[in-house]
Amino acid sequence: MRKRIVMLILAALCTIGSGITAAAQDYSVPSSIGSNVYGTYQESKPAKPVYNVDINWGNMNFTYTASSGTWNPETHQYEGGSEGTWTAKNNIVTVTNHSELPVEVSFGYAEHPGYENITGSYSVTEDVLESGVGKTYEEADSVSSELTLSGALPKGSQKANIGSVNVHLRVVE
Amino acid sequence: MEQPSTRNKWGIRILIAALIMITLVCTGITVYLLNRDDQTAAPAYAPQQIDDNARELDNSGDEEKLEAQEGGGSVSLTYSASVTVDLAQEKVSVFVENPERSTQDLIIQVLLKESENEEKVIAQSELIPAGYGIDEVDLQEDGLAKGEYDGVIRISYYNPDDGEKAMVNTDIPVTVTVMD
Repeated sequence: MRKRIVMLILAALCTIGSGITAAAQDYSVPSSIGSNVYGTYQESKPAKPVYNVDINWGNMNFTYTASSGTWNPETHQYEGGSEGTWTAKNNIVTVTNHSELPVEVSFGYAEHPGYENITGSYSVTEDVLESGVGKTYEEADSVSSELTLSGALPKGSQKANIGSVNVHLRVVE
Repeated sequence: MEQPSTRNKWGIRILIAALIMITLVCTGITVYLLNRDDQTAAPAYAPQQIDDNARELDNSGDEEKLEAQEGGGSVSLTYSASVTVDLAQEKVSVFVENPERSTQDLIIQVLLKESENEEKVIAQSELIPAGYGIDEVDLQEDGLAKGEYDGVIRISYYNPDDGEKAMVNTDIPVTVTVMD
């Protein structure tokens, strides 16, 4: 008799326990409060683009070599003279673009007062340098241009300041 | 022979003096006009002082200098190709940095193009050494009207050892926006 009572009590307890477990699901804290949250990635760009460019140049020392020839006292003329020629070392300008945008480069030469007859020209007049995106620092696009001069330098000139090199950097539209 | 009267003598002397004065004034004006410096030319030697508006960059102090050809120079420029003028503050906003690795100091000028061959300097900085940058320069031109103009940022370079101006300069064409 006693065993039956104990068995009944145990069965009742199991039933009640299962019921509590089954009912617990109805009383758990909800996993969502019913409102979804969204996220959108937006690139933050500076108000105005910034460029980074390296410019390298040599000493731009040119030598003008000419000969007026030998004086002939019979004809009162110089004979055997030669037309002047310009030579230079370190007359190269190099521009390298490290910007994230392309840059248009052009080279100009400006004659200084008193030397307007001496003109400058370049091996490369202009170029568009690609942006540095996708390139390492060493792979940055660059252009080198060699300056040459023409025109006669006045006799006796010693390291005369005859002109200047202009490097133009333009935005590529 | 009849002598000129005293009044005539004085009249002639006054006339001669006036002609001499006019000649001297005209000669002086001519000499001035022929010898005045190009107003847009950068100074032949570096300014002695650093621009008041210049700021020191975040320099490590031991960054290696760029390689430069013998007797030449090498610069690393950081810049923005836009310029605005604030007439009320009398400031020209122009962003240029001269990183520590540059071998040259520099100055900047902001010029307006008045015609094909005519330019006018509206702002010019003092020295911006390697390791410094600038965001604005004092406006030096009166009478600018609000609007947009074709202009140029001109950068001239100087040897930091002897202050001598380099043979190379840089022009950056810009649109200059003038605001109240």
